[in-house]
Parts: sequence; structure tokens; C-alpha cells
Amino acid sequence: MRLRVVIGLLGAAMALAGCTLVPTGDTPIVLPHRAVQFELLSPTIPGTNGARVVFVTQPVYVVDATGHLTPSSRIVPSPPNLESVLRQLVLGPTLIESSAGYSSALPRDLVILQASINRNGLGTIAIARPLSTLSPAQEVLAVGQLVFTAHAVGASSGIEVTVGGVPQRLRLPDGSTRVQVNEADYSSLLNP
Amino acid sequence: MPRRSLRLRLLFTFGLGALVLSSLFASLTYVGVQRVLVSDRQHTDLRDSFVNAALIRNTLYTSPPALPSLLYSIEQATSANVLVRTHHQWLSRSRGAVASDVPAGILAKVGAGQAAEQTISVGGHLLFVVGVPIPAVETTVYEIFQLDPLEHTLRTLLELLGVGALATTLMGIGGGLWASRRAVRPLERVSAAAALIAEGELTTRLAVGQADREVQRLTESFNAMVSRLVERMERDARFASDVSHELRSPLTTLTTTASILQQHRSELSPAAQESLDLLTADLSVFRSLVEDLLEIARSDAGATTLVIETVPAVELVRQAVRSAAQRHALSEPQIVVDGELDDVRVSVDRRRFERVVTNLIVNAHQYAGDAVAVRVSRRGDSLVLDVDDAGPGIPEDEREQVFARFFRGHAAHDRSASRGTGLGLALVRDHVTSFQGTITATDSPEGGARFEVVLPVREEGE
Repeated sequence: MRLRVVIGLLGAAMALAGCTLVPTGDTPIVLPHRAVQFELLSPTIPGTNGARVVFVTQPVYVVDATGHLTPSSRIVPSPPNLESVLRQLVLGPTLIESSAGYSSALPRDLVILQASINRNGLGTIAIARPLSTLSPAQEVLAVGQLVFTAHAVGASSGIEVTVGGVPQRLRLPDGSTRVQVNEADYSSLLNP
Repeated sequence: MPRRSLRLRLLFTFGLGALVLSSLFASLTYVGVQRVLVSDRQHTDLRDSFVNAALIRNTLYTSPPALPSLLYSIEQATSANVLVRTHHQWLSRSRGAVASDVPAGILAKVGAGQAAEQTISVGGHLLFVVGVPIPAVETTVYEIFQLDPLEHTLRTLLELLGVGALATTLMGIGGGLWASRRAVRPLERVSAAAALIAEGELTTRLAVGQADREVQRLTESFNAMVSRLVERMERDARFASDVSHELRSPLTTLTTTASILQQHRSELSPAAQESLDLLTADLSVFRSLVEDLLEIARSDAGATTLVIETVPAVELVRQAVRSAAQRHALSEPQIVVDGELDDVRVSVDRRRFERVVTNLIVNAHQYAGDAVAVRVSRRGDSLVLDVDDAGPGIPEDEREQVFARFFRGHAAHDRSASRGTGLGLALVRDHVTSFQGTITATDSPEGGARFEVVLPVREEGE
């Protein structure tokens, strides 16, 4: 009898030594609705008048490994507006995109002050400092990213960039400059 | 079957008791602490998950582009891995954690609109995964918490409790050792004292000292018991001595009368002569019995004085054999001396030694057809005196009993029961023991019985 007790204790100790001490589970445990705080399971945002956010996928343009512009999708609140999409663009490529060789010609510290599209389809983008401080080649790619991304949002007539309310002359692929530019001006930058 | 040692049993009981109690204590402590720590940790992680999910919801509502910096802040603050899935697309890739790290079961539950949790073990690491759907912003949030520190804490606790249990068990064994020594020591003293008393040291008593009350009571009872036994033995010896002494006078009168009658034997009728012969023979046995009783009673009472002399052994044996044969009108047995033993000396009381040899020769004459040889030899530091007889030998189960008082073996029943007193061999053992010797009965190589007396040899000047 005593021998059995000793053997049992030893067995339990050995079994304990081989197991994890924090119990694990094979299946998830569903949390009761009332246990989830901050009304996270509510279909609308608490404290608002039934507000909820629906997202859509919107393309932004990044620079591929060959130096051409190529679209990449971003999630933005629906309906998409030029300002929120451009802010996603300024954040640059994701980690996965970077590891695949994608980059952005737009500086990471570029601040989008305001962006909108007028009824003629012209997008106006107010930024904190001019793009002309970039190298000519980078400036062309940066403007191209803005033009194609804005066009996807609805700026069908092109864009205009202002700094301190003053329209900037934007560099075209052929080296010339213009205040208003559109996607046709930069079509040569697209990945064929 | 050999009995188990009381000390070992006490030791085992204390050790096992300490082991069981310490194991029970360690188990209860561990189970209690483990439940509290795991529960607290999971509760904390769940609360953090809800707070973080609420922050993510607010950020997605007010400023979606600020989500990456929010996630970075969360990870810095909580050390959790956070994965956000919005509009069917994973938005964050946190600290190397990827969507495949989230268990499929949780993905399914959260995808169905339920918050869920699960503790899993991946690659030797323990993870606590919490999934929370946030339908208001079309998002699900998964947070992965590392439980390895908790596992480490519990393992350390378990090891400490194990070491504690082991130490407690060892202390229990130590306590058992101490207690068993303390409990058994009085018994060992009693046992040693009893052995001394059995060897004849009747003055042996236990010291009362500063013993515990129970041991003191045992000691007093033991001493009282021994005193009573000694008193009883002395009383019995005195009684036997007194009876023998009182019988001596009438016995002397009877013997004298019988002697006078023997002188006028020719004047008696044949029937009277026969009766006189029977009376004379029985008086002889009666006188021997009284003398033996008197001697053994004196020996028991310690009333006899030993006159120890260190004398040449071989010469002593020769004299004793000659004296015994002459006194009892017996043929003198052959004396065989094995080796040069002229210088070998023994310390004995001459009168008692002669009594030893006489009793052995007379015993052989009465029960075994006479002594055929008396052999003297040396064995190491001992002198060995063998008296061999011509009888059938002594059965093995009677070889110790023949030295008991009034023992009547099968030889006595078969041959001449009325001729011995039944005290001869008992006296022999008493006397040999008083010389610090031993006597045993065994088989003679010639076929009869052999009584072997072993006495310590005394060197010159000793």
C-alpha cells in the first residue's frame, strides 16, 4: 500500500515535469457577450448616432523595382476621399511591398494639409513644402504617384499642387513644367 | 522469520509521514498559486485586449492612417503582438507574428462574430490568443500574449516546493532517527540488563537517572521485578538448604542404624537381610541427593567460597579421575593426553573440579555403561577435557536438557532411574561456569556420548 503511494507520487511528479504548467486548450473558449467590454461587439460606434465605418479598397501608386509606377491597394473608409487616400499614399509601401522591391518617391515627412476634388474633376492638393526640393527624376515620379492616385479617387481632370496657397509648377517626364497635370502627361511612367 | 527492526520502522514511518505531508502541502500550495496566477494573468490580458480593441476602433473611426502608430504604441506598452484585419485584409504585421499564428478555431469563432480566447503551445512557447470582432469598423483584432514568463514562474515555484518537500522529508527522517534512538535506547538497556541477569549477574540493575516518566516507570518495574526474582531465588535456595540441612541429622541416624544392622546381618532372616540391603542402597542415594541439594542450594545462594588455584591441568585431571574411581569403586578410565601439556595450567577450585570429574565418570557409569576414556587436549587458549562413555549417545534434543536439574532423559528411564539424584550434571555445569568455562554434550567418535569441558588456560605468572 505504502509502495503504491510512493510510486503514484513519483509518477505524478514525472508526468508534471513533462507537461506545460499553464493549461492549454485544443479549442477556443467563446467569451460571453456581456464579458466583452466597451461594447466592442456593438454594430455601431458607441456614443455616436449609430455611426459605423465601412471600408473600401482603393489603389495607390508606388514605384516598382524598375522605376515604373504600379498600383497597390489600400483600405480606406467609404466613400473614399482624396485626402485620406493621399495620406495612405504618403505612408509609403507596406513591409511586404518594401521587401518585394517597391518604394515611394514621395518623402515620408510630406504633410498633406488638405486635398479635395472640385466639380470639374480637378484635384487640389495643399502640401507643407514644395516638391521641387526633390531631384528632378524623383520629383517626376512623386508627381506621377499623386496624379494616378488622385485619378483613381475621381480627379479625372488632373491635379494642382499648392504650397501656402500658391500653385506650384510641376515637372513633367519631358523636363517641362506645368501648374495642372493629368495622368496622360505621366502615362509613360506606368509599368507596361 | 526475522522480525523487522523497531528503529527502522520508526524511521520509515517518520520519513513517509513527512513525505506525505510535505507533498500534500506542496501540491495544495502549487495548485492554489497556479490557479490564481494563471487566472489573474489571463484576466489582465483580456482586459488589455479590450482596451486595445477599443483604441483601434476609435482610431479607425477618427483617423485610419494613424493606425500603424497606434499599433506600435500598443506593442510597446503591452508587449503583445497585435494583428488587425479590416475589410478582409490584414492591416498590420506585428513583431513577426503573422495571420497563420492565430489558431484556426479562433479565426472561425471571431469570423462568426464571437469574441474568443485560447491558450496554445507553439514551438515550445506558450501563447494566450484573444480575438475580438469589432463590427462597427468592419474589423477584427487578434492579440497574442506570451505566457512563457508565467510558465517560468510556475516552474520555479514547483522546484522550490519540491526542494522544500525533500528538505521536510529529510528533516522527518532526521526526527525519526532521533525519536527512534530515544525510544529504543531504554529497550536496549533493558535487553542488555536482562542478558546480564540471564548470565548470572543477579546484581545488575537499570539506572533510573533523568529518564522520561514512562521510561522511568519501566526501569523501576524492571528493577523491582529483578529484585523480586532474586529474592525468590534466594528464598528457594535457602529453603532447599534448610530442608537438606534438617534432613541430614535423621539421615545420619538412619545411616548409623543401618550400619549397625549390617554388622548383625547374619542374625537376620533372609527376608530381613534383603530388606536391609534395599534400605542401605536407598539411604545411599538419599544421602547423595541431600548432599547434592545442599551443595546446589549453597551455590545458588552464593554461600560457597571458591578456593581458586592455578595448577597443572594434566596432573589435576589424573588425580581427579583416580579419586573418583576409588571413591565409587569404579574401574579407572583410560586417560589420553593429546600432545605435550605438562606446562598447561588452569585456575580451578580443586574440590569442585574433582566433583566435576567424579560426576561425569559416575554419570557415565550409571547411564552409559562406564566412561571409556578421558581425553585432555589444548585448543588455542583453552584446555579441553573430554569424557567419553560406552553408551548409545544422547539424542540431540536432550543434549542441553541433560544439564537441567532433575532432568530424566530416556537413558535414565531405560536403565537405572533410581540410582541418580538428577542433580549431578547440573552441579557440573554450575562448577564449570564458576571456573569461567563451558560444558557441552556431544557425540564421541567412538560412538558413545562425549561431555566436553573447556577451561581457559592460564599462562605462567598470570
